[in-house]
Amino acid sequence: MATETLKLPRDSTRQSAGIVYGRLSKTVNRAAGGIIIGFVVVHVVGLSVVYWSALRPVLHLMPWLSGIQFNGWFHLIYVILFPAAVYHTLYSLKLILMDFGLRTGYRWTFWTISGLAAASAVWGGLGYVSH
Amino acid sequence: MSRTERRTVYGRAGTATPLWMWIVQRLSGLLLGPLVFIHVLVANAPFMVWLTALLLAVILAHGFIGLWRLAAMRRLTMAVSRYAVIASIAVVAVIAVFGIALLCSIP
Repeated sequence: MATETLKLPRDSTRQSAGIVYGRLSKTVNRAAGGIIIGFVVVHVVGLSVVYWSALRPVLHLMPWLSGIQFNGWFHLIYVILFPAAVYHTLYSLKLILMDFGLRTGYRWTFWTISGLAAASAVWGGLGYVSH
Repeated sequence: MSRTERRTVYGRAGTATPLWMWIVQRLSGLLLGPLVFIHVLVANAPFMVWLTALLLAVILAHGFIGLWRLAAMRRLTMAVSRYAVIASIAVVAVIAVFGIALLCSIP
């Protein structure tokens, strides 16, 4: 079992005592990826129940499933999915750019990407409100 | 995943990501952007079998490697890490089975 505390190579400014933005960014990115994978599972399984003839009995048990995406509350999913997709995309693009040598600040990139993700959550919520 | 691949970096134990996984994850991630864009915004795109099959294949590759890395790099014991890798494979298998069934059912 590894140690629980983070050991930074240089900690003369006591950076580890505050928010470690690199670690926080990575953790949020992983959570966003998990949300997206969860959505993909629900999306694929849900559509299979509607279209796959072998699962037709399940659709007969849950006929509401075939038109679920037309319900207003369904748009609430986007309040979570959109920011997850935006964060995961932008953070990953940043990682790729960093692979090619781009130097960026951890703090401002975290807040910029998080801000854009939050804006996309509002956009997703507006879809629910206007429905 | 053998013990020799386990490393401790800055006090955290984990498994190093093989180079091929690292490259495939980045390439599949770059492909996912336009593919998802087309899948969502272009009319009838979800009913184009080759395009949806390509999207499914890219999702499976990207998702599996992502979950594998998530499971392997956590600060876990070797046994728990192994179960996490098995769980990653199970999640991807569910997507694969239902995704292929869905592809075969596209009208």
